[in-house]
Amino acid sequence: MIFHQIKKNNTFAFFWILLAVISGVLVFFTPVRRAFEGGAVRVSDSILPERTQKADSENSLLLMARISDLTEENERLRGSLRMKNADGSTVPAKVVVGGGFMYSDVLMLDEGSDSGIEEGSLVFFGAAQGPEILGKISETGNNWSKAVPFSVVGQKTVLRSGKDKSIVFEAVGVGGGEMRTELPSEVELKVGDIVWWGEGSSYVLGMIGRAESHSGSQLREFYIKIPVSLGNLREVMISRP
Amino acid sequence: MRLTAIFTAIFLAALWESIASPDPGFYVFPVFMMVALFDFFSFTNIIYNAVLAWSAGFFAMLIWSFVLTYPAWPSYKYVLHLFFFTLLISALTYAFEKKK
Repeated sequence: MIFHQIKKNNTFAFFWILLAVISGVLVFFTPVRRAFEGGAVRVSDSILPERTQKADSENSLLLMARISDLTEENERLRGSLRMKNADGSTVPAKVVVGGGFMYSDVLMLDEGSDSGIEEGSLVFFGAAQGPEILGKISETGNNWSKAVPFSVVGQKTVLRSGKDKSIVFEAVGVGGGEMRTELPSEVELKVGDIVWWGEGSSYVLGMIGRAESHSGSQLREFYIKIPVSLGNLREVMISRP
Repeated sequence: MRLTAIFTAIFLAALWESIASPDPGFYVFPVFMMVALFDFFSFTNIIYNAVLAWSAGFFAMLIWSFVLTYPAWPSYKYVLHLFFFTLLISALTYAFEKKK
């Protein structure tokens, strides 16, 4: 019985020590510590105000120089991506939710009608070869919008391909960033050919990822792939009407 | 069947329906069916109920998406999406029922 009592006490002691360690860790890594640090800085400022002002001034100059550098870099990058944000015709938006295995073929964006985005606005993603179209905006809120790629299951889209974009056809989205179409065997299309969006033929939509022929059939199946994984997409551009 | 399990499954289905549905009811109706089947099957070990409900829901969604993309099957990525979605619903329903 005595042994049991001692063991019980030890258990409780261990529990309190563990609780104290966890609390210490939490205090050290949480805003409480930041609040203490803020207090220390405020005390230092009140004792030596001149030193603080000088440091603020130097920091401001450094920040302004940094902002200037970043602005230049931003313009240069936008220029290299051929994004037309400078004239306000497109709005960059971050992908909040979407793509991947859990939310296939839909992207929730952090820009909405407050930024001038409307239902039907075109969605692009940056590419070195020119503007690549992804889909359209299907719903908007004040500060959010929903983009639906052309590859969404069951959606039919008119596309162009071939020499001089002369082959016009309709493809159906099969999900996961892929579209499918059937064309006569004699049509000269091959794997790797670029496919443009039919309504605005200056926009690249993707490329032919695979082609399948079936014996006895006059038709060939073509699968068009978007050249980006929807799950890895972090930022898109939305056209403003 | 616990109401928590039913409401959680239907809430998730409604969430996916509002975000990613390619067709009205694409996520909600199969989940209704899964929950109903889970409750309908009467195996003592409820893991069998969960597996049967999951397979029924998965194949219902697969057939529905095939109807949308006819005459082709949906892409393997989309099939994986359906697989994971139905698995999530089944796992949650099973977990809530197991706690009972």
